[in-house]
Amino acid sequence: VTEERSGGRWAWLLVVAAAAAGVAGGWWLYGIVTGT
Amino acid sequence: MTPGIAPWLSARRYDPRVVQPMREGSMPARTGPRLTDLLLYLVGVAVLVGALTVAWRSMRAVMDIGGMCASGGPYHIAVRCPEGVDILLIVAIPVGLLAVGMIAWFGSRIGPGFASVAALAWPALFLSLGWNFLEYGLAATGGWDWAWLICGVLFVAMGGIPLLVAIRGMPRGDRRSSGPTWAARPAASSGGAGVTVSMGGIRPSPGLTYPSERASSDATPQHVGLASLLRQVQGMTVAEAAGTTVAEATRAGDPAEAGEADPPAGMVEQLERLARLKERGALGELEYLQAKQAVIDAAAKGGTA
Repeated sequence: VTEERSGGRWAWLLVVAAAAAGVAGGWWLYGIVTGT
Repeated sequence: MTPGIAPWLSARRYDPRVVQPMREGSMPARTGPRLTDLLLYLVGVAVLVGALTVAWRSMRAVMDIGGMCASGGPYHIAVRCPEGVDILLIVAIPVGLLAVGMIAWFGSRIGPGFASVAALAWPALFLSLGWNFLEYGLAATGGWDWAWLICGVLFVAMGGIPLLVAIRGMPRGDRRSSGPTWAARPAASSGGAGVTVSMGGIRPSPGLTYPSERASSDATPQHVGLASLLRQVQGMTVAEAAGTTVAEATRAGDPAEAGEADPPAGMVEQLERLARLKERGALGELEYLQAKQAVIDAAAKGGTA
């Protein structure tokens, strides 16, 4: 039960991590395409 | 995969031992998402944020050269767009919309609250682009650029006002939370023998909170009556798995036998709710009749079920 509760929190950490990866990926893609 | 999330992902969707949490006017939530749903949801979040980042940087690149540019076509172009920026802006918008759809779709499949993250795309877009307008408007050469400042104020209002309204509209408990959660706990704590699953209460810790478990200051007779009904439904689902009758399961989950006070909800109200559950398909014909009889029997004995 405790593990399942913490599973929810882990999933939300994954959401935050995905958002951070999105920022990094978008920044990288812009740099690649524009050469800056 | 982390040890913490593995049990949640491996939970069976339609495990008969698990009570499907129900809410008036909504479909029963699933007990656990599939790994593919979660992965595609996370991809949607990453793509959306990536598209917003690309749009934000592209906008700044255009504002660096005065705010207007052009590329292609047969005309003489006074200010050419930075290389690739026009393509990035054109692509970022539909890709971002696609990502919003992914978040809404797969978020609704993995648990309550997750799909609502898609709604943050609106304030994120307008607040981030509004920041660009304000920054460049205040830092313009020769004083403030009022055109950009007005755009900035409009964008911040368009993004910020809905966000503030949404935050103020959330229940107090939700505002204190760190985000939606789902949780499982033994139903024995509420008189049953299975497992109950959170309705996605946005509090960080609890599982499904019956209305009667709220602070006494905001508990109403309707809350207490609904709690009683939820216990009955829980008993029915446990009964299905155990092969026992609904009446037996309902008696097992009777709050009166657990030492709790009898809820003052009326029999008619409970019967109406049972009818609504049956109309929604949450209860089969036989289950409905048995539950209905249990309510009538309890009322005949002078109490409520």
